[in-house]
Amino acid sequence: MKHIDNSRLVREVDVERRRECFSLLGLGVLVFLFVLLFAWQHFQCVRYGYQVEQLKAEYAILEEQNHQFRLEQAALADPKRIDTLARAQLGMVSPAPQQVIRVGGVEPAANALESPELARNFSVGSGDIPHEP
Amino acid sequence: MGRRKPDSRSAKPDRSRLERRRLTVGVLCFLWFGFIAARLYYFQVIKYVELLGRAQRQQQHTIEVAPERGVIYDRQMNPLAMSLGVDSVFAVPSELTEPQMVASLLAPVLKVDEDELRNRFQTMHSFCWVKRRVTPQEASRVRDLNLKGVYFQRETKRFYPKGDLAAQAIGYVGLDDKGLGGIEYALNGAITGKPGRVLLATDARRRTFHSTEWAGVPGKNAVLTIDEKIQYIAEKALAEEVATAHAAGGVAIVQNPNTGEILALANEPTFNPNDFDAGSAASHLDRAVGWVYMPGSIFKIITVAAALEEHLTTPQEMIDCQGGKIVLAGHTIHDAEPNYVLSVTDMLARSSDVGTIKLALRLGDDRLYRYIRAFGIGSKTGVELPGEERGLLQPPSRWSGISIGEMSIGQEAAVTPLQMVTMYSAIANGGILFEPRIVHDVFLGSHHDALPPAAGHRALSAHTAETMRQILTTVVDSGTGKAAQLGGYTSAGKTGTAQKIDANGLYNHSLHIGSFIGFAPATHPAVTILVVIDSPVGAYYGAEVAAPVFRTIAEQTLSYLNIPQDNPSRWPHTVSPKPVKPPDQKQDDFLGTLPSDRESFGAATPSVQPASFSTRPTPVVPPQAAPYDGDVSSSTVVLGDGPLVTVPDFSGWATRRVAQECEKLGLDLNVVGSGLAVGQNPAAGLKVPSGTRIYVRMARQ
Repeated sequence: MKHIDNSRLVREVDVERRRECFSLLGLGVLVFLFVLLFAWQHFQCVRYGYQVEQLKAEYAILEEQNHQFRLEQAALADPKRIDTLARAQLGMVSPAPQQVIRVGGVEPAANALESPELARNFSVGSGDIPHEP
Repeated sequence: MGRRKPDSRSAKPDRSRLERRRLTVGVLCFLWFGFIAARLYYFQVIKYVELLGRAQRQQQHTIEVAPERGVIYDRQMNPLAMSLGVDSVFAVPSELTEPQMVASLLAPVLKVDEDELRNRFQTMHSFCWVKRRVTPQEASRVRDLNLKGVYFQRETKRFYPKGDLAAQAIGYVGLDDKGLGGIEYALNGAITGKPGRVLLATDARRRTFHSTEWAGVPGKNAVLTIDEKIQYIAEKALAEEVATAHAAGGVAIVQNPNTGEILALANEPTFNPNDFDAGSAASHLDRAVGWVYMPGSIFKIITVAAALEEHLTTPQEMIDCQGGKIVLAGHTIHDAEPNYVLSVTDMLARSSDVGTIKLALRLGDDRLYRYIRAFGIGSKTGVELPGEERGLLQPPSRWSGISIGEMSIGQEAAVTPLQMVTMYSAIANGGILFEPRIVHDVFLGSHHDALPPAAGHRALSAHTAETMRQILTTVVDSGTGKAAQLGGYTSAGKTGTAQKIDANGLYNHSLHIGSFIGFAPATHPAVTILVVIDSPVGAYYGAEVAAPVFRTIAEQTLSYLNIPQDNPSRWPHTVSPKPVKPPDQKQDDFLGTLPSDRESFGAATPSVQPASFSTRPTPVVPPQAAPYDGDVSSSTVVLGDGPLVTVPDFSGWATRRVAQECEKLGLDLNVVGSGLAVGQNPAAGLKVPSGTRIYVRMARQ
C-alpha cells in the first residue's frame, strides 16, 4: 500500500471568499445589532412609558392632595369655627367700640372696600358720579 | 486493496434521490411560506378592521375627564366653593360573568339596593352606574373585591368649606355638577368647563404604559363681592334675633352704598349646600331677591324725598298730624301714637303716617308713582342672582282712592329686600341709584371676563339726598330708631313695621314684618344695612326686633373695615360681657366636622383628610378647654400695634420669590393659582401691619 503524504500540501487562501465571508459576518452582526438596538429602544420606550404614566399618576395625586389641603385650610379658616373656638375655649368676647384703640394700623385705603385690586369701575347712566362725602 | 471504481449505476439513483429531497424541502418551504403569507393576508387585509378594533378595545381605553368646576371666592379670595376629584363606580354588564353574585357583593359595600342593581345589570348591556361619587373607603373596598367588569370613573364633587355661610347666594350643584341655585346656577355656563379626553394604552395587567391627552377647558373662577367675615357677622346677628323672636325667618343685607356691591347677604332659615337635600324649601329661598313683602314705614322716605325734591316742603315745615288720624276715601288711617304739629323731620322721626300721607297728597298719584319707579321699585335690580322678583306695584290708573295713602306709608306696594337696600344706598351716596352687584370678577388664569360696569342713575339731587341723610340721622338720634345708635359712629336709618296679608287678601293683625334699614357712619356712609324679621312673636316693631340687629352688624362691620370712628363721644350701651356659654348646636355640629373627627376621602393619600361637609358627627370639645374668667369690661384692645410694612409689587414674580419676600416682611401669604403673579390684595405700596394676609393671584402668562 502506497503511503501518500499530503502534509506538505497547503490550501491556497482564497482572499476573495474570505472577504466575502467577513463581509457577510459583519453584515450579520450589524443587522443583529440593529435589531438589538431597535428592540432595546422599543423596550426602553415601553419602560419609560410606564414611568411617565406612574409620574403622571403621582402628579395627579399630589395635585389632588393640594386641592384637599386648600379645602381643609378653607374649612379651618371658617369664621364660624374660629368664633366658636375663641368664645368657647379661650373665653374671648367681641370688643365694644370704645374698647378698641387703633395705633397706626392699616391705612383706610387698604381695607377691602377701597382696595384697588378689588375696586370696580362704574359708569353713571345719567347725572354725576357720587361725590365723596 | 485497490481503489474501487465508482459504480455508475448506484450513483445515478443517489443523485435523483437528492434532487427529490431538495424538491420536497423546497415544496414544503414554499407551502410553509405560502401558508404564512396567506394567514398574514387573511389577518392583515381581510380581517384587519375587525382585529384592529378588537385589539384597541382590549388595549386602549378612552376616558372622559370631567371638567373642573371653577372656584367661587369671596372678595378676599377665600374659597367658598371648590371641587375635588372622587371615584364613581360603574359596570359593563356584558363583561360580568355572574351578575347576580356581583350585585350581591357590591350592594352591601356601596349601600345600594341589591334587587335594583341586579335589575340594572340585566336590562343594560354596555354601561350602567353602580354608585356615583363614592367615599374613598367605599372605593377601596370595591377595589379589593377585584371584580371583572366593574370599573371606576373619576368625577368631581363640589364642596362648600364654609358650610351654610352665604348658602343662598352661593347656591349648590346637583349630582351632574350643574348649578341648581344661587351663583352656581347663575354663572353655571362660565364656572363649568369643557370635558377633556384621555386615550390610555394598557397591558395585559391593565397597567397603563401610554396615554394621549386631549385637554379640556377648566371652569372659570368667580370672585364675589361678599366678604366672608361680614357675611358671618350678619348671619350670626340675624340668626340670634330670629331665634329670640321666634320668627318665621329673616334677611339681612350689607351693601357698599358707593359702588352697589353686596358685602353680605344673610338669610334665615338657611341650609348647608353640602347636603342641600336636608334643607327645607323655605331655607333654599333667597329672601333678598325672591321674597316680596310690604315694607311699611321704611318706604316713607320716598314720599318725603319726592316732596323735598319737588320743593313741596322743607325739613322745617310744620305739618299738622291731626292727632294721629286721617280719613282717606272713607277709610281712617291711624298713627301708632297721637301726633299733633310736627316738623317734617320730626314727622319722619316719629314715623307719622298722617304727615306722610299729607305730603303724598301734595305730590299726587303720578308724581309719587314716578318717584317710586325712579327708586327702582317695581323692576328687577339687575343683580346677578337668579330668581329675582320685581315686587308688586300697580300703576296709578289702577289705584283706588286710598292707594296714595297706603302706598306712601309702604302698605300697598310690595318690594324685595334688595330693592330697599339699593334705595337707601342712593340716599347714602348722594342720590345715585346703583345696580347692586354680587359678582366682582370672573377669571381663568390671567384672562378676566369683561363684566359690565356697575350702572347707576341719579334718583335724587345731591342736595335732597343730603337733606334726607340728615333727617334719617335724626330718626336714629331722637326718633323711633334709637336702638340703632352705634357706639363711636353716627348712623342714619328708618324703622318699619308692616302687617302681613293672609290667604284671604286681608291684613293679618297678628303677623307682622319688622324691619330697620340704615347706613353708617352717617357722615361718610360706608355700609348700608337692611334687617327684616318675618313674623316675630311678641315684640314685632322694627325698632324692637330689627334695629338692635342693625346695630350689632354695623358696629362689628365698621370695626372690621377699619372705618374711623366719627362719633367717639357717644357710647349708648355699656359693655356687658356675656357669660361664656357652650356653643349652640349649629356651631357644635360644625365643629364636629372639623379635622378632629372628619371623614377621610383620599384613598391615595390617607394622611390628608379634609373635613366632611355633609355629615355631622358628635362634637369634640377638648377637655382642657376652660372659659376665660378675666374681666373683659375694663379691657382695652389695641390694634395695629405692630410695625408697618410696605406691600411690594409682586407683578410678574414667581411663587418662590413672592414667598421669600413675604417671609422676609412677615406677611402671611395666600397664593391662588400657579405661574407668575398677576394680581394682589392689598395693593402694592400700601402700608400694612406685619402679619397681614396677602392674597396673590398667579397665572401662566
